[in-house]
Amino acid sequence: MKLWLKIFLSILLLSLTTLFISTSFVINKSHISNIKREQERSINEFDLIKLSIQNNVDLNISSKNTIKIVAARYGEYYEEKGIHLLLYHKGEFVYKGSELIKQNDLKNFLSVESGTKTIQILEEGNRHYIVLSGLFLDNNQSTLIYIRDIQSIYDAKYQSIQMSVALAFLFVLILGIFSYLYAKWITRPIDSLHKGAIAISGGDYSVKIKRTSDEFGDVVNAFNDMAEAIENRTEQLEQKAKERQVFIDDLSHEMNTPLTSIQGYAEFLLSANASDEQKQKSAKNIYTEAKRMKDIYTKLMTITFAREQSIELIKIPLNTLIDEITDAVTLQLEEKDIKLVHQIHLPIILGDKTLIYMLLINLIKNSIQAIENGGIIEIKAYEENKNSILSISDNGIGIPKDKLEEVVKPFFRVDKSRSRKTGGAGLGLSICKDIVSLHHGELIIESELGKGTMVKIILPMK
Amino acid sequence: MPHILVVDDEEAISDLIVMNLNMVGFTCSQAFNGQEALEAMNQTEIDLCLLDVMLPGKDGFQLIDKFKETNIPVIYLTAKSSLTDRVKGLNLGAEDYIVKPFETLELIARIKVVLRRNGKGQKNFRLKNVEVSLTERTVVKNNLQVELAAQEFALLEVLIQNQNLALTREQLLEAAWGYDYFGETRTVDMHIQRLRKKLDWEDVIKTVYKYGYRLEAPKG
Repeated sequence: MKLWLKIFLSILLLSLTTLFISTSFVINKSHISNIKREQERSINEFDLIKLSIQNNVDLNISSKNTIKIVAARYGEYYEEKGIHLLLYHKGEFVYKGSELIKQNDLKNFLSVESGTKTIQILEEGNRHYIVLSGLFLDNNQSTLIYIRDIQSIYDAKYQSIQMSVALAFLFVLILGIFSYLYAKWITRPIDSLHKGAIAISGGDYSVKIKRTSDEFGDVVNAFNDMAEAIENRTEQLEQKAKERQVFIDDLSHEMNTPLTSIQGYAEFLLSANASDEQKQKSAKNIYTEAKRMKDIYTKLMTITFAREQSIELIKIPLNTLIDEITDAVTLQLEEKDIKLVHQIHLPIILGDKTLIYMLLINLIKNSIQAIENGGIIEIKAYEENKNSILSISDNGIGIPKDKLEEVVKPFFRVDKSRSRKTGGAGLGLSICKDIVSLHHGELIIESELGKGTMVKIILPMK
Repeated sequence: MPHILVVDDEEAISDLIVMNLNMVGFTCSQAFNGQEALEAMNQTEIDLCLLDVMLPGKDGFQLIDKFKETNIPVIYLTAKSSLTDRVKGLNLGAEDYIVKPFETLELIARIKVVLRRNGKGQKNFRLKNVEVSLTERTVVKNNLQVELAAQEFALLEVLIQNQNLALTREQLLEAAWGYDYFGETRTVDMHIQRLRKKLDWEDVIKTVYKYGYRLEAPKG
C-alpha cells in the first residue's frame, strides 16, 4: 500500500476512533447523570406526595371511601403534571392512575419493605418510565406507587447520537480531504526522489533534489551525493573506455602497418621480375617488419602478464645489474661512439629483477636512439627522502616540452618516420611507466630540445 | 613514360610502391613529408601524385590545393577508411582515393585510369617488332596487321598494363574478362598460348612457376 495512503488512512481511522470513543463516553455519561437527576427528583417528589397524603388522611383509621377520594384528588392533580399515582391499600388498588405496569412487575413494587423504596426504570410500549414504590409511615398495608415518563431523557440521548453521527460524517469528509492533501504533501520528497532516480538511470546526472529539513533531508543529501558519485564514476569509466579505444586503435594500426608491408613485399617477391638487389631489399623489409611485430607482441605480453601478478620484491644487487645491462648494449654504444658512465651509490634495489632490467634497458636504448653520435649517457643511483632514486640522462636530441606528457602513452613517437626506421614501436616508455607503477614508484621525465633528457625513477625503499 | 611522385612517410611502403611502379614502366620520385613534396613538385615534371593523407606536418588534405594549382592529378592513399574522409578527399579534388592495404594491381589500374583521364595515358606499346595501339586496339607485327579476338586483346592489354608483374590466372581472368566470365582458368592458358604464337612472344610472356604469367619488358 502506498505510503501516503497509509498516512491518510491512519489519520482518518485514528481520528474517527477517538471521536467515536470520546463521543460515546460523553453521551453516556450525560445520559447517566440525567437519569440520576430524574431519580433524585422523583424520590423527592415521591416523598413529598407520600407525606402530603399522610397528613391529609390517616390511613389506619379512615374508611376506604375517604382514602379513595383523597387518593383520587391527588391522583388527578398529579396526572396533569405527568405523574401517575397508584395507591394500594389493604390488599387492593384504591386508586390506579395508570395501567402501564404489568402483573409481574407489580409484585416487586408491592413487596417493598418498610423504610425502603423500590426504584426502577421500566420500558413499556417504546417509552421509558421511572417507577417508585414505598410504604406509608407506620403502615404496612398501604403502598404508594409513583410513575413518571422520562422518555425525554432517552430521546435526548438518541438525538445526541444522531447528531454526533452526522457530525462524524462531516468530520470524515473534511478530515479526509485535509489528511489526503497532507499525506500527499508529506510524501512529496518521495516523488522527487523517484523522479530523480529515474533521471539518473536514464543517464542524466545533473539532477539535484531540493533539501527539506526533516528526515527526508538526510535521504535527499545522500541521494544527491550518490548522483554526484555516479556522475564521476561514469565520467571516469567513459574516460577509461576512451583511452582503451585509443589504445586499441593505435595497436591495430601498429599491427596493420607492418602486415601491409610484409604482404606487399612478399607479393612483390612472388610476382615481380625483380633484380637481385630488389629481392634482397624486399626480404630485408619483411624481416624487419616481422621482427618489429614480434617485439610489440613480446612487450605487450610481458606487461600484461606482470600486471596480473603482484610482483615479488627481492633485493637486487645494483652493480651487477648495471654491468649486465652495460654488456647488453656495448655494441650499440660502440657503433655510435657513446660513453656510458655510472655513479651507483645504492648497494641494492627492491623490485622484480626481470622488470627492472627491462625498465633500465628500455631507457638506455632510448638514450642511445636520442644520440646521433659521440654523446654521454649517465646512470645514477642514490637515496633521497627514504626512496631509491635511479636516473638515466643523456645529451641527445631531447623531447619537446609540449610532448612530455604524451611521450609515455602507448605507441606515441615524437618522430614517426625516424623511429620506424630503427624498428621502434613507441611502447618503450609506456611500459617503463607501467613497470614503475607496479613497483609503487614514480617516473619523472625532464627534457630540453637539443640539450638532452633525464628520466628519474623514484622507488620506495620498503 | 609518366613520372609519379610518391608521398608517404613510411619508407618501407614508399619503397614498395616505387618498386612496383618501376616494374610497370613508371619513373618515380619520393617525398616523406609535406615540405619534401612541395620541393619535388618544383623540381621535376610530375604526371601524377600518390599522396598519403596522414603526413607529418602539413595535413595531406591541405596539400591537394597546391597540386591542383599545378594541374597535377592526385590519388589519395590512406589507412583511414571512414566514409567522411573518403568523401572529403574526393570533394577536395582528388582524382581517386585508395584505402590501405590495397592490392598492387588495383593501385596500378587506378593510376592508369587517372592518367588516361588526364590525357597522359599510355597510347602505344612497342616490343620486339610488335606495336600495340591501346587506343585503337590494333596490333601490328612487322608492319602487318595481326587479327586478335576481343578476348585476346583484353588479355594482352592486362599483361601490358602490368608489365613485369606476374598475375595469377584468376587475376588475369578477372581483369581481362570481368567477374561474369564463368570460364575456367584453362581458357587463360589457351589464350596465352595463342597470343604467344600470334605475336612471336614466347620469350616475352613468361610462365612464372606456380604463380601465373608475366609480360617482361625493359624497365624504366
